[in-house]
Amino acid sequence: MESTQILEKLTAIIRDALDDQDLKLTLETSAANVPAWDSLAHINIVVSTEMAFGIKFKTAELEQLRNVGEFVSLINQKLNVKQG
Amino acid sequence: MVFASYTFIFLFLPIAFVGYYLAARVGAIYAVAWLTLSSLAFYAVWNPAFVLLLLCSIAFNFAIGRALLARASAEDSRTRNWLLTLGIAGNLLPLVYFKYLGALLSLAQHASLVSRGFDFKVILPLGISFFTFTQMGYLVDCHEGEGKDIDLIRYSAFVTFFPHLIAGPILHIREIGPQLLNSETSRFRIRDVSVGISFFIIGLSKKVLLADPLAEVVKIGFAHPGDFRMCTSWLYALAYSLQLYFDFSGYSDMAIGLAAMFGIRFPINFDSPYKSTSMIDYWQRFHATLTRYLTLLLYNPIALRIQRRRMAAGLNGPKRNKQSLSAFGSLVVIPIFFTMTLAGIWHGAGLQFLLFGLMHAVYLTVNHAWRTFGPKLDRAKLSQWVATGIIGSKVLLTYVAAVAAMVMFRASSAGDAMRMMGGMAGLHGLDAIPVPSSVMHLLQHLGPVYAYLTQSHHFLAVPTDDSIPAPASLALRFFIVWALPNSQQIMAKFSPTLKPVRGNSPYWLSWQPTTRWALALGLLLAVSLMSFQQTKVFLYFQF
Repeated sequence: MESTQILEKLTAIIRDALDDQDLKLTLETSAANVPAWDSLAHINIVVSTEMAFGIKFKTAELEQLRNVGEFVSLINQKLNVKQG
Repeated sequence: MVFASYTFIFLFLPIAFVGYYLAARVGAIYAVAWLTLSSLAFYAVWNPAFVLLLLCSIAFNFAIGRALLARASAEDSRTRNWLLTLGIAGNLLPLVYFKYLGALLSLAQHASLVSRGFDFKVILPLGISFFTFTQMGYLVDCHEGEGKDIDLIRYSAFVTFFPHLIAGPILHIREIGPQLLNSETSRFRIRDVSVGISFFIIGLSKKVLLADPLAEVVKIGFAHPGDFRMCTSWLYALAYSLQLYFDFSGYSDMAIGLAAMFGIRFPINFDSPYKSTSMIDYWQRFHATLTRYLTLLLYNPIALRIQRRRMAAGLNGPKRNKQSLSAFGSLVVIPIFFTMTLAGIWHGAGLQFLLFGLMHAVYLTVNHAWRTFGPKLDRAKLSQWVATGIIGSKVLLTYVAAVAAMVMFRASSAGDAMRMMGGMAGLHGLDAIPVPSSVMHLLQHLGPVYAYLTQSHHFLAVPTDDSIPAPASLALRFFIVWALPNSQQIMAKFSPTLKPVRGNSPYWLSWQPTTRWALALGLLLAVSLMSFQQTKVFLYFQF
């Protein structure tokens, strides 16, 4: 899957979780820039993402993410491993 | 050995420092080995016997870590889980023995479960909670495949490095490992050294000039917790909150400064917590590396597991504004209470620490509930004054709630804490609001109002008793806490910490490598060195 496709799918998930359909995300967006994106929302986003892409994250991987761009590349990497 | 002592500053530190950069000329790995050796010496000064415990702990964890990393493939996941369980148990065993067994036994004796004939007493090895937690975190990282290229020498340096060995920050291998592997780290850089020394002096002065002078008076207050009326009780509680603030802030600054002198960057551990606008914010700023640790190892795994199960069961992920009570209960309340209870007893074995954890669990739950179910304000529509007022009251509310929990934290028992809180709630009667004598002189110009406030109604009074914290000395500290930038903001241009600093400092309070700053800090150092006689051990050394 292309990074742009992943970002598109991820944007839909995050908009849903934060209940904000006008939210704009770029690869540089970080949770700190989005006031509603707190630890609780984060758990929702992570699990919804796992379900949507059929992958599973480790907590240490999630800890290191700095922005949406790194989240997208982590998803990409997981999808590649899955497809072998 | 404490950082604020002549032995540390004039003997240990110079030897460790010069040896490190000399060893680096032979090879980076020798510098790392020197770091470990001097850190062990630092620990041995306190109690040589426990160096053995520390070394066993390092050897055990490194061996388990290697075993975990050797079984990286998917088929080995069961073995990995067993190894991790074994490793965690191996770490918790000494911690329970030294820290909790005495309390558990006396509890069992009270309940007549075991005979009362013996008395169990052990010395708590310095920093055991910190080096145990650091290493359990390392094992979890190894379980997930991190830290492959760390050898035993670098691992020992990571655990023992003296600036963090005894009272944190709690470090992750992925933030320190790469620094120890990089041979540039031990190359002498005058910039890092001068930034480090400056940071250290700021921390030292906080500890010696602002925290320690409050220690005696706080001790008196908490030795007689039921004896004071409302305002005096509050004075003691506020004095303790300021003592703890400058003690831990000073320690954290010194740790960052010392690490920088050795070319190593630490994460920020203490980030003006009393400026927090909510309890959630408070825990991101107070002992930030412990919060990060507990979030990573307890809160997130529990919340993730619960949420995965809920979603698999078809209970759709709750959206921000349509949060159901059951989702809130299972995703917020359960993980928070579990995490904060453990955070409480991490600090000690007494009932007061458990209650301290529970109080914070309640605070955090209320905070999350307000965010989820409370009214949403459109900030853009508020006037500047109203917005500032709201922020001010949030800061004040957060601080007062934190102070109440701190009383629990400081008191020698839960009962004492209750008596102190009773006094603060006015149950032991009211007394005059203490004001500094200078303020009283100003008020005298008010004539009849002054007479009303002081002589006829005794609303205000200048405290005459030396054992009561002086209002002016607390006011000075509140000014530093709320009105001035913190150390990392002052040093921000030279970023001696791992993550970027939030907030900034006015131009005149931004550190520069100039003669003016060197003179000012030199003076601060001289004054601090002359005030050592009343120096106290760091409050966080007891954990």
